[in-house]
Amino acid sequence: MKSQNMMSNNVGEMTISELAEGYRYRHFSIRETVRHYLERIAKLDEGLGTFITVCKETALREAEKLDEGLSRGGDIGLLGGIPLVVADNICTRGIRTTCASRALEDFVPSYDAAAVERLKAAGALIIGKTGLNEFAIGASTEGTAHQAACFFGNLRKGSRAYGDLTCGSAAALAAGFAPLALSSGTRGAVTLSAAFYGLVGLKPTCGAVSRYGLIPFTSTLDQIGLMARDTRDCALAFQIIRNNVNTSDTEELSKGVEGLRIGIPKELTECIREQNQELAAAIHKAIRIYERLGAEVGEMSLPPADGCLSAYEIIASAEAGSNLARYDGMHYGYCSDMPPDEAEHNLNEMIIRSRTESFGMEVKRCIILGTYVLSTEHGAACLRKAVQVRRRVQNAWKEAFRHCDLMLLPVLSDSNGFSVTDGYAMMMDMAGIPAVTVPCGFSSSALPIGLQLAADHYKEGRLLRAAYSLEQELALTGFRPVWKEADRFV
Amino acid sequence: MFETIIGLEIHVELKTRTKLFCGCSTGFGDPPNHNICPVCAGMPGALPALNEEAVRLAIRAGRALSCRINPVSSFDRKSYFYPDLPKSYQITQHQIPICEGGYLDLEDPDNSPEKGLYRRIAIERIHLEEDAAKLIHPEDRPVTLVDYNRAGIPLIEIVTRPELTSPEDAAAFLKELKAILEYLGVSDCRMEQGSLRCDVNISVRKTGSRKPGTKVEIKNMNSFREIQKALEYEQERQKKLFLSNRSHEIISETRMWDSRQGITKPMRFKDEGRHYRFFPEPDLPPIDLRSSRTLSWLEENLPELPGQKRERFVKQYGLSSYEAGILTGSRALADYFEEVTAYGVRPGDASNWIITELLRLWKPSEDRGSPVRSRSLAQLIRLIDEGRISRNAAKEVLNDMHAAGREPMDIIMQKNLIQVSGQDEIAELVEAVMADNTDAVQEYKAGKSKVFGFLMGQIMKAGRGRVNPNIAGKILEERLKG
Repeated sequence: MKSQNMMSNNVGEMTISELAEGYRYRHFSIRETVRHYLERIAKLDEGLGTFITVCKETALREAEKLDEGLSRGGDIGLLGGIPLVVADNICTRGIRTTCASRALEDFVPSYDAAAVERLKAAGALIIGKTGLNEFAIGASTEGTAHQAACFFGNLRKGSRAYGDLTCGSAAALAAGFAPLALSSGTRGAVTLSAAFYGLVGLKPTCGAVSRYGLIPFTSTLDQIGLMARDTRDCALAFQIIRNNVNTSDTEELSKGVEGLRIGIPKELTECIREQNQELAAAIHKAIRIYERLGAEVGEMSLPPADGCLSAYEIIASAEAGSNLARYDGMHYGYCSDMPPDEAEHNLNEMIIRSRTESFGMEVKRCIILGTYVLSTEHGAACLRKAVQVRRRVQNAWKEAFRHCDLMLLPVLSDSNGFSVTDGYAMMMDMAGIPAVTVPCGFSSSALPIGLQLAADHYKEGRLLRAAYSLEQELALTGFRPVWKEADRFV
Repeated sequence: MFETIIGLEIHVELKTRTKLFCGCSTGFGDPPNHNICPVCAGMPGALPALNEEAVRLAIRAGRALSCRINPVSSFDRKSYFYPDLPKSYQITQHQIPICEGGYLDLEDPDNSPEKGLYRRIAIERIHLEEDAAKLIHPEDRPVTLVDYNRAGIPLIEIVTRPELTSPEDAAAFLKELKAILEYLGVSDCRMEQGSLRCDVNISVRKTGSRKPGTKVEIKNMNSFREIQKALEYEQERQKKLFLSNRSHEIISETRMWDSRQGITKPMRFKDEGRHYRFFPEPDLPPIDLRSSRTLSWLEENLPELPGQKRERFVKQYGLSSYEAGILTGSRALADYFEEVTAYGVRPGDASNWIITELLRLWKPSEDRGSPVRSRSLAQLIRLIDEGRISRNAAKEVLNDMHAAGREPMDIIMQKNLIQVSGQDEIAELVEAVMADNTDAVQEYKAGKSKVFGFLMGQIMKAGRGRVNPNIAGKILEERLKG
């Protein structure tokens, strides 16, 4: 069968638009498509470890229902039959949501996160829940219940992953397990890890997408984001999950960039020029393209903020300490195995044991720091200072966007340790502004290179339009090699 | 001798349909853990959304207590681990409460002009917060049960300055506060259902002493009466310790009121030194009242408040301040009184019948109106006025009206209670009673005039309360003399 061959060859590479077209013209059914994805996961994920839970039965059942709807000529929604991966810190009704923690190892929410609800209502079907650092905290999964880290090394051969917490989702997309991921992140987790795997990643404005159902790590910095294979898919999904629906972003995409003022932060580009020739060249190429398309590109000053990393750590730990207090073993989640009469008489002991046994080291470190911040004079002074730093960062970016409509930044995705682009990603989180990553080529060692665009609050439309223009000019669509590497691990 | 200083912290459940941060019902008496959802059960990822009605009610309370309403106030997290706290923190207002700096005027019981008519008790703040779950300790089993229906119900906490000087004052303050909150429709204030709860702080020191007394907190009182009794007990306990030179034994602590023994005892589990780690709530924006929509909440008309109504009742109806005080004790009762007078009953009569008779049968509250309609009570009073029934018979009729919700004339006809005023009929009764009580008659004639009352009683009894006592009295007197 022609359709069968076509599918098995490239299902993993397909975009949402391509799948939707295939469904519409009956090139393949939703059920067989989902089956292909599931088979691919079964075959490859053991070596990658991107999933914590694969939703085989429910996905197939949903697919069947959607196929029926389709055959009756019904409207199956903008994302009808599109497989979706959801990071395991985002609640999914009836599907175990663990946050990669022992504290929630058996937790099955009775509710969907607001964004999940919207995507499901548009016809998307959840194919699985992807791994992350425990509660999205810290930089490694060491010592946590779910050691989801293996894909770091496997997909990118020893190089360090950025925006670690989304790696499960990003790696799942890269490995061709789904065309769309709903994920979350701070410290640029969505945008940086999308760049790392050659995907398009969108981190919306803080407040543009409801956080309801995203299990909080740091409430004021957490943000739900999206990853997809191209800008059009990302825009489509964003249109569905965002709070205010005024304009159609997908229609706006082709409006071009003529007249837009694009700023290049010179402190960052100078630094990159020294560290990474290929990335510097990619930026240069992008600048030329934008200029050719009628945008006005110019360098501007936006120095990295002093103390940004410390401020981030202080704010995040204070909030995390408070947010994670509810995992006391009394209401749900992990409870220490204590004789009932002993627990009865020593409630505090039971809470201490439950928390000691269920949290990993990184989480404990964060809670202890947070408790220090909130219960000592010195800690409180640190927190006040951190909030000041954040305000300064917000003002700096506000000021920058008075002189330009967009900011173009490189993403350094191939160094070890904290890099200068991490710092800028963190600043963007602190400022609460939207950002998008676009793949813009490959390095000499055939690894993806990504660029990042940032805009002022609620300017996602402008952001996606510029990303789309660049993507069209670079014509990289259709060339998605990363997932193919996944086959080598079988 | 001694000075007592008392401060109150009053938690009042707001009368909203839904909880403070979610859409769950606030209904009382529903099956345990029936009104809960991911938000009020503190499930991971669930986020609060503020109930505007609660904000509106808090503002009403603040305005009635002459507070300053903060144009911007905010929420904080108060953290501690306990089974009644699903999130391990309570969302409350710590740094900037919604209302600050008000007062409540207490009418002076003596009402003497030189002392001033009122004493002003300052209110430090009113803040919004969510209630915790209810813990139930069954007596027959060694377990603790948790009912989350109460978790997330909106509360205001009203904190007074330590300016009350006696247990009676504290009780008077609470009574007045309860009436105000009921009038405003802010709360039911039912202590027995826990919709009003009060913690008290008391300290005693020698008069003239510069050093403030040691503050002792008392908890676990379930009525205003118990609060007054607990304070009286604690005041005495501390005075006695002073007098026996053991004042060092008064320590800053939390004591539990034991209503069975009528004493206060130190709490078994002390929660001192607890650090609440207050922290601005990142999941809720500040309450900003500066928009045109919310500004109107600050200008809403408030109903006539108990103090104003009391004054008007004295002036308009010529009632004593005692009567006016009782009748304005709740808005439902005050309205009832005014309805009865509107049917043409003299205010004094209406007040008498309501205070001495009706209140025996009916405890007024917003949602439990009197089963005796105001129109029916007016009718009954008119029947007495017209001499159609006796006062005693009327009491019986009122009982039946209350029990069966029937009209007074129905009961009077059915029970044949129309007052007998015919001379002949009554004379016949009087003679029969005299014939049956010849001893008493003899005694009276011998000079024992007290027996008259006994004979009258016998006549009323024989007439089953229907006899017009004035006429019967006259006839009896005639016959005894004749």
